[in-house]
Amino acid sequence: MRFEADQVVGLVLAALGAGVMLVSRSYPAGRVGPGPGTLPFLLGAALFLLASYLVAAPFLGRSRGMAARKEEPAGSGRSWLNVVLAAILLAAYIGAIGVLGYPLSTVLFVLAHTVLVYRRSWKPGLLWGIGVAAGCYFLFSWLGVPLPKGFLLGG
Amino acid sequence: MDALASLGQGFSLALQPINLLYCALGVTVGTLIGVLPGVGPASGIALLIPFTFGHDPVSALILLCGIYYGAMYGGSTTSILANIPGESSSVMTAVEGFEMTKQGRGGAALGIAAFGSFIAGTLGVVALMAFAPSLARVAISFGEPEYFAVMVAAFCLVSALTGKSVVKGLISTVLGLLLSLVGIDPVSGIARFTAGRIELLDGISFLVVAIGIFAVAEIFENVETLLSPVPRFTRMSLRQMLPNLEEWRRSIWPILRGTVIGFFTGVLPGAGATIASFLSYAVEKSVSRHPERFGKGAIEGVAGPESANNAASAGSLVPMLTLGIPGSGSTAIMMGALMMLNVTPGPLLFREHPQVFWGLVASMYIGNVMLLALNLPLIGAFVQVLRIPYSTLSAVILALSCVGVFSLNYSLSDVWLMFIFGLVGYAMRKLEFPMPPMVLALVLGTRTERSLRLSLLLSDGSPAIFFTRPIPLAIFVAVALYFLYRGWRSLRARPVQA
Repeated sequence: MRFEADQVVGLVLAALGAGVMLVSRSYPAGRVGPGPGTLPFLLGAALFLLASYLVAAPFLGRSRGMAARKEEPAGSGRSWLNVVLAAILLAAYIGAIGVLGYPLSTVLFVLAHTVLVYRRSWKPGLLWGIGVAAGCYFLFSWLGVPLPKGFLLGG
Repeated sequence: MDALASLGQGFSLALQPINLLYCALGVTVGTLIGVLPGVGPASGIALLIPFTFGHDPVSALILLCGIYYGAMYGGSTTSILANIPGESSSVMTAVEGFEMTKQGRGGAALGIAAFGSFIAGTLGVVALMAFAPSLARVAISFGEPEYFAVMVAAFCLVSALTGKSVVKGLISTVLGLLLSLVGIDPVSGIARFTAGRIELLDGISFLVVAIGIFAVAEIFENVETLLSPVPRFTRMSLRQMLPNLEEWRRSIWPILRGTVIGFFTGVLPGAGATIASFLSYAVEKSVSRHPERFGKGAIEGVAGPESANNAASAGSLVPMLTLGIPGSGSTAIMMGALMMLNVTPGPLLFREHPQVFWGLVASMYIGNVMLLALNLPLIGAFVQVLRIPYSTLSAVILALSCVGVFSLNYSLSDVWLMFIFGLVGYAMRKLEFPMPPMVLALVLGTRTERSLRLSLLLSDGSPAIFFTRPIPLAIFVAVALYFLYRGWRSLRARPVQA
């Protein structure tokens, strides 16, 4: 049979709940009343039960209305790629902050996001990137936040 | 008159130039956020929290609340002019307001929305002023078992009301509570769920999660469709925005009813502005002598819901300030911000930091006047921000999210964590798990565990303590009855659905 998305998520979450219960057993018990493992154990159990319901719901004839699948208005093939692309760019940006510094990586990120994800022309992307990078950099420096400068500004 | 004297002090605080500036900044940014589709108030508040660090808590709260109720004003503008609700609480406004625009009465719709918001916002603050201190006086006698019960009730209500599925809401709550446990346990000193990583010993900051699952995930979701609407607007003069006598006559009762509905809906955890506006619309349609006008540009359908969502934002501050229990994503984020500034909302706030409450109340009066003054003549200017293409705006928001999270601890690992929560938030949106319960649970998690532990210490470990004291017992029974009712109703509805 075909699993619904909710069931797959339910399985993952049930496993997570079981894992939490297992880990919380390893914490020492409190001398009086609850110890550090009490609430985690209860939460793990609750997660396990709730997630099991998600898995079991279709078998109980309750799948309707649980995950009303909405069809995307735009071409759905493209939409997935956009999200993946945006996520990769953001990850690359966060990675670059430590290496290139905040100002330079921000300019590159805004440019790349505009051009690659949204397929806009590069000019406004570059201008906005420079504007945002400079604005944020000076504002947060003024607030006393030591943003990574990168080699450009010698930091 | 004790309250009047306190209010006077509040005004002297709120009228300080720096606080006036924060109020103006808050309501302006709030209006912009309200106008922009795809940027919600929760994201906006979370993004601006880093700017409040090192400031006075009163100023910080004035700024953040200004964004909150400012967004309720701004949300109506694009709904009426272009049928694009900036916020979910303006959906009903779009139904009637856009019809009015098509009939050439868009100006009046904008006007009544602004006046209704002003009246409801101001009356909402009056109600806040009247109810909050007395509720705090009751709450101050609460012991730990009572607190635990109230928090459990808040979690259950928020889980049940914010999403389509109660089970998913509860899962979201449980995940949020688990996240709040990450780090060193304050009682035993044991590191929990840190996977051996030093960065996690201090716990996961709610702001990292909030910016991730609200701001970043919002952008991932919008990127899917590459949506960037640039609607056309006709310029409108101030004159056109003044409703005529007939329109006033039809609107005044919906505004007042919307205020009452909105305020009390806002007080309930989990209900909030969106539900308030839907309720108000439904009420107006049912009491109207001309229900056939609804859907065809009935001004009552703009006046009621717009008033309701503004009153709701005042109402939702009541449980947050008096009990320390926020009832929505936005108020949970505000409460987290206050806690970062070493002010813990709750009944003690009124004794220990009365200036926070009265300064906020006074600033809300001022803010509502500012919003009216801003909104009527400057609507055209605000609408211009829609010319910024979403392609650029989204990149800017992402860059701001990164720098905001970085400024918390000057740590890039926080930014990575934010990225992960951005993906989690995107998955939650796609799978229809509601996000407010998770943020609420994360903000309240530590307090919940402390209440549970202290309660059970009082009773030598017996959970009977929750069922032998009257208030917790009543609360748990009420929650159980509510869930039984929900269960019974969905069982009954089943044959119809299938």
